[in-house]
Amino acid sequence: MTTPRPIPRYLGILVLLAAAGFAAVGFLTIRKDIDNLRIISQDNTQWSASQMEVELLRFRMSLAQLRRSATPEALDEMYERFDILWSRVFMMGHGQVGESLRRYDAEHGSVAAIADYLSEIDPAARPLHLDDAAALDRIEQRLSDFQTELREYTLRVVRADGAASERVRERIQSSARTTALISVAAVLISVLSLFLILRENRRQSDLVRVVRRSAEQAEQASRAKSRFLTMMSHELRNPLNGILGPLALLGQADLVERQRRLVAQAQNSGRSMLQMLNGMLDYGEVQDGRIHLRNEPFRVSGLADAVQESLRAEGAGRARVEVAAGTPERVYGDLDRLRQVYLHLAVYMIEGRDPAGTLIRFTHCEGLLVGEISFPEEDSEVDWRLDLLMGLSEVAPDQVASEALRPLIARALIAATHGVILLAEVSDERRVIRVTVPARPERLERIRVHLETRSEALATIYRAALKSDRVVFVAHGSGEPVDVVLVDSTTVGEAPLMARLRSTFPGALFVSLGLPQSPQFFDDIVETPNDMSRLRTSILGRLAS
Amino acid sequence: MFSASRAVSRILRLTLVIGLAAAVPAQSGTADTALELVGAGRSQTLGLTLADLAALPQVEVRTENEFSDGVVAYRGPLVRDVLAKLGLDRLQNVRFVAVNDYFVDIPTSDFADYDAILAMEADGTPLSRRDKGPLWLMYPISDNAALRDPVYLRRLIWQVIRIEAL
Repeated sequence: MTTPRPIPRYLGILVLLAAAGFAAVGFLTIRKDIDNLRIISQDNTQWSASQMEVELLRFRMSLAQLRRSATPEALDEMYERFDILWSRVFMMGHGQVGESLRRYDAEHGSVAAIADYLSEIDPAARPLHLDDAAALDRIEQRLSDFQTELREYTLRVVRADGAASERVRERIQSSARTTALISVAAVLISVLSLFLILRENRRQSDLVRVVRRSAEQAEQASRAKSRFLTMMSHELRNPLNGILGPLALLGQADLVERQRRLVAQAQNSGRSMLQMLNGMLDYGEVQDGRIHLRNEPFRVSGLADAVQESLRAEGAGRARVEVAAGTPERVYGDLDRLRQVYLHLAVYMIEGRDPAGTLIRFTHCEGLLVGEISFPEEDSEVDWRLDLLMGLSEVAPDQVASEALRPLIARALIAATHGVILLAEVSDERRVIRVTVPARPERLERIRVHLETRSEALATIYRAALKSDRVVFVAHGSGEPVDVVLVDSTTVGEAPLMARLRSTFPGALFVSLGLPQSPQFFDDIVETPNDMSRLRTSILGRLAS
Repeated sequence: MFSASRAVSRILRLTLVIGLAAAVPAQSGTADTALELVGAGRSQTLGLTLADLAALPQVEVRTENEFSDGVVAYRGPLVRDVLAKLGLDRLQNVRFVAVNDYFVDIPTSDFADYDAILAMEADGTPLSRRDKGPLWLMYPISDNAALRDPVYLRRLIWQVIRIEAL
């Protein structure tokens, strides 16, 4: 199927100009018709001309009646008829009608002669002598002559008026013919316009189909690419884990210091590569709309620890990560995705700087988890490519710079979690990037506690001391989730035990009962195990947060 | 019972006719009558002298027309006021009759829509019979473009002597 060629612009303009021209001609023609109709009315002087003849006859009759019976009524009648005749004759020359009457009398002067004679015999100025029969006969004879002239005048007016009407009729017929031609032309233009519109409509429909098909093809290509990316990431992760596992075992072997550093370096690179693969995997899922975010409670300090650990793997372990006081212990969200967000942003920002100056600080405000990544102002001389970080510049997908990969993944994950990234104001001589994501705090109705003590007797003492409607003790191996794990610090083999407990109770708060050998394994420490009041406050206080 | 009610109806109708006749006696034209108003069915007539018309509120209309030169200041009572003298303003159409028996039928809505007058003066001079007077129906043509239509120009009847109900 071939798409019709687009209508040339000049053709559209030509049609519009033609339509406008025809509209203008039509308007002028109709206006001319209206003027012609008005001329017909103004030229209608036949009535006025004929009335002069009629009124002259009526005056002569009133004069004859007066001669037959010289009564006051007959005299009044004669005066009135004279005045009426006067008004008819002397309207000539006044106004448009009077001008027309004068024009028709120009060659003969009949009406002008009557006007002169009426002035001559005006009874108001010169009373008639009814006993002077000869004078009255002369008046009658003269008026009779005028009667004939007025009849001829009326005929002239009627014929001239008819001729004028004929001319106007011809003009109207001409206008009507023009109007008919314009109508035909307008119909032709309308048909042409309709054809062009239909053709253009078809072309637009074809274009829409082509564009839709292209979009579908692009979508399919994008999905295929994402699928390929996902598969590749997945396939790369497996052998990478196969490398990292032996490396870990190798690291535990008895190696010389140089070999140990090399193994550690290989481990760090491997973990970093694993982070990137995970990030790419998530980015692909975000682009496909297939990403599934978890909404599970996690400890904010756990997030901070995870970020710190990941930074260490990236060789930026000296960057500080902390949780502000007053931050809820646990919030809902996707711990691993948030770890990736802050890790990618922090690594990008640390690039070329001393990690020790970088601080990641977590707070919580009005249902939002706020993570601020900041570094000293003096480090701002290093080009941190703010446009790449914030995604300010429109870059074609095939021109994404390699250094923009981490911000790109971070922004995609922030958008997926309905979060916001912004450049905060410079405060305290530090530059701050703030990432805010919705994360409602977990409010516990009951707190689930697991006791890990060296003896059952000690566990019984703690159970009795902490007994409450809001505290539930979870037995080991029950499989139930646990919020707090109380660990007797005198337990032998602290490190392996903590590793096992952490894997058994992920996300739980670990509280040491007594001073532990390795405080870094614990989230809280109750130095005096017998201080039950302090212990109760520490545990139940979690409910209020 | 039926015949009794018919008798009462007849008496009432007769009383009404006699009452109307007494209240508005038919006034045929007198020597001074300048304008005669004729009601529906010619049962009522009212003769008005020039003094009667001059006693009505006078309105000036400055306008051109196709029978005069330039703008002329015409003055006289509003036609709707004159028609109201005999309730003719409540009719749909009335007939204006001139002394030469020319007549024109005009819808009374004209007089509600426009301040048409029965002109008695032109530029301060009373209109005589020779000057298309003493009464000339005049529309405010110059103030209303719609009145330049030939329909209205034909309604400028002069030497008006009678207005009849239609």
